[in-house]
Amino acid sequence: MRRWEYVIRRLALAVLVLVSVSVITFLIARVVPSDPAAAWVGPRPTPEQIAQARRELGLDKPLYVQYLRYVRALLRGDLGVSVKTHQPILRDLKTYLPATMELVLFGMLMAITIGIPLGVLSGAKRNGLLDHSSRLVAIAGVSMPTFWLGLLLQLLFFGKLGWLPLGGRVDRSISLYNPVQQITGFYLVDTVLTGNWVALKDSLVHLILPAFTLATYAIGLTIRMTRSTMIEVLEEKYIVAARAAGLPERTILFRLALKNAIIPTLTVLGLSFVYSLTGAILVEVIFSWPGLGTYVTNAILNVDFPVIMAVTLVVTVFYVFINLFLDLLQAALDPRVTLG
Amino acid sequence: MRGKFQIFALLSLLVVPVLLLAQCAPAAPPAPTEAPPTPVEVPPTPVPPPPKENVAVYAHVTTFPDIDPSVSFSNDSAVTSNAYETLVWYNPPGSAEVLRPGLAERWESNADATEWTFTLRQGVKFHDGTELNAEAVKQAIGRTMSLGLGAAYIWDPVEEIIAVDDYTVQFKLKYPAPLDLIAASGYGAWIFSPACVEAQGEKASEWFNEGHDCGSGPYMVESYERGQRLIMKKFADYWGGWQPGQFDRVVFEVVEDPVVRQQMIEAGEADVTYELPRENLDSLDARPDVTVYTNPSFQNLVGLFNVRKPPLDNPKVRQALSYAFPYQQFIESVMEGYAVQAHGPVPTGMWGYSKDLFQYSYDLDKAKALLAEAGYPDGGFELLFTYATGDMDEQQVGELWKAELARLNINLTVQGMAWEAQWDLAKSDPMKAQDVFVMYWWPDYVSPYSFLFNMFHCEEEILFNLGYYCNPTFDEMIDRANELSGSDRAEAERLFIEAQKILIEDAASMFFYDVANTHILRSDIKGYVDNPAYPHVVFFYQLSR
Repeated sequence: MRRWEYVIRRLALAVLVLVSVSVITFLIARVVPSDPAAAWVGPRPTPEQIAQARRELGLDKPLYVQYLRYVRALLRGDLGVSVKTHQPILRDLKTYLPATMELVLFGMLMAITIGIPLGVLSGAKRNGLLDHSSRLVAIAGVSMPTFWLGLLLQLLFFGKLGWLPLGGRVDRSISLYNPVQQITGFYLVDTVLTGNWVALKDSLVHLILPAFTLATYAIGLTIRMTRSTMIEVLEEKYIVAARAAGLPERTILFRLALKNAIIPTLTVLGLSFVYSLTGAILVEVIFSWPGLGTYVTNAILNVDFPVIMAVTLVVTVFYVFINLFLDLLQAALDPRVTLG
Repeated sequence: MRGKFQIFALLSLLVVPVLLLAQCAPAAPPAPTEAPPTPVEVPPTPVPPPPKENVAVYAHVTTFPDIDPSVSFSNDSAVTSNAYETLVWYNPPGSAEVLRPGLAERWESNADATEWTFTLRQGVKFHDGTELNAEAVKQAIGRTMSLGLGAAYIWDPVEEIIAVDDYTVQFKLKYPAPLDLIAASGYGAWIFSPACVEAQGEKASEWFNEGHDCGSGPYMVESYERGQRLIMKKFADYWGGWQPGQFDRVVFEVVEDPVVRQQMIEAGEADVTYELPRENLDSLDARPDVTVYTNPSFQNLVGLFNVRKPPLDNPKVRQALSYAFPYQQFIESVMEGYAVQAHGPVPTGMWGYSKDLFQYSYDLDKAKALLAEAGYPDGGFELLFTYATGDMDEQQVGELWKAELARLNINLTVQGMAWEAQWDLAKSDPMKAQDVFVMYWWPDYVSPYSFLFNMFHCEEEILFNLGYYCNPTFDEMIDRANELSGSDRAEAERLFIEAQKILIEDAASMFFYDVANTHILRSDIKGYVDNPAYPHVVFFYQLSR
């Protein structure tokens, strides 16, 4: 199958997936025991208020009419309004999604820069001290609960050493005296664009602990995945030939072997990136990070279905496109992979 | 050619999420109405902190769902109470008077409390520079009523609001009601500048929630990083004036994790917080730099008995169950002493509360005797106890009670449910619903009627009377007391107390305990007094350092 045909087919499937997700979430929202009209009014709704809200929200219309209205709004880019906060969900996402993206991307950067070199060296020096140590790091990273690790790191780096902040995206002194002017919502980018270097440094410092806590799982996974594929690749004949030709070990490891060994790791990293978009909940709560995880947790606790539906759709879009991107990337990097 | 296509295809795929992100990228926060937005190209010069600025930090447990003063009906009152004012304020328990003047200097009602006249304070400015007058009061309350959200229903008795002159506003009511108490509510009773709201048009609610206000309170909302931090600065023209030591700015940090809040207060990163693990409070209070303030709140935990469904339709069974809960043991061991056993449904310290009301105590022998009288000498029935999932205190009440009831051969199923589902089940057929509905109650405006009417008045359509109790004598008594609340509060109080006697005698509910309010402050903060009428509100204007 040609690449563009494959892409078109996958995009058509993506539309189908999104429609299915929208139908399922919409139906679940109507089936679960909760009354959006009552939630809209507030914690002590009166029957008159509920009746009025039901009319205003169109909940008195047949289910298919409600769904069509919902889809029509979606096509206009309107993700709806939260029944708890009465605020447009798109506006909320503008605040929370970039915060989570920044955290997750920084975490992924850590996973790549720490996990891949350690995995490569671990695979190259099998059963050596470095291998044993990095395996220990990998197992710890994969198995350690993030909420526990996060609290320990806070206790050590904030409580005992005082080196790093407890949480939040920036220190309150920044909010008070050098506020970040929001352009993209990514503080690292916005502070560079506006030349707010004090806030840039502070944002970076605030990212370290939560991003590392979030990245530990991905670091562990990357080390293990890279190590095992490196071990396989290093036994290939072309590596033996390269060694026989006297190529430097660094070239063999990082240029020849890693190119083939990296592919499964990239898939794992890609999927853990999307998973982290909503999987960062615990880290966000511990580090008071105002991200998507915190937002959707509150929505779930409040049975705020418009928000849950919108976040589910947005995350589905990410899943679909990153999966497609990874498949194409694999095909581009590995000639053995065929599309179709 | 193929390589170029690959790159193009990959880039095109990347474009989609990037576009999505671009769509989701935050817009620049709206600039204040007077000042144009700062151009992006010009890097802002970092401003060093003013040397003498006095900043207070409140590590707050939750986000602020809605800071629109007409709609706010939640923890956002921590913010609204500092930005807005009410006509009247409710005083903390123990004060000489129940109410004190707010934006109104004085108020009076006619003999049957159907006409109320408030005389406004002069020289009060809103944050937009306009002046408080009777028309502003009329329009502010009018907006709250017409939106019909949040606590707007507290104004239900109002038929008409008349601006008699610039500083006199009159309320004509449909029926007698304590409008002074209603006007002192921490929800839905805020007065704001109508001009300020009108300037925002239909988007006013969004504008408020982007970090703006239209109040007359001592602090103005300066910025709001949603889910993270809200900053208020002092309103220089505040009618009350300013004294040295008062705070120039107040920062509300949203910190959901209690361990983190504790670390903040210990490290001096926060000046005020609440809801820390109870077992840590004694050791915190022992520190010289931290003070723990504890007093009764106006919130209590009740377990409404399903009085329609056997065997709880029999008052003797309900009384027996009331004797089977180890109140003191629970309060001492689980609540660590941070609660008191309730004397009926009106919480400690509120008007309408009486310490002379009967309290059931833990007495299994008495429980057995009552069960025998009711025809259940050997127990032998099952009950369903529902509570809101996630509330550990409610769950532990259930577990402990279950153990005690097992000794009477009664099987209590303790079922945690999402609030919505718990409420939905209770609103269905009472014969198929739960047997005991556990929930907290707190007043919208401070009146025993809020507790007695909502939870125990006969209801045609089930709403909050989730034990389905219905007693016309009781209804008549509390309705009359409510009518008198505005004109003869002493008589109203007497009637409310008498009505509670009926409920207690009927054992319409388990009255487990009145929750204590616990706030933790840095010791160098002066002037703190908790006012349970405004839960977890810290009036920063009253504090200094």
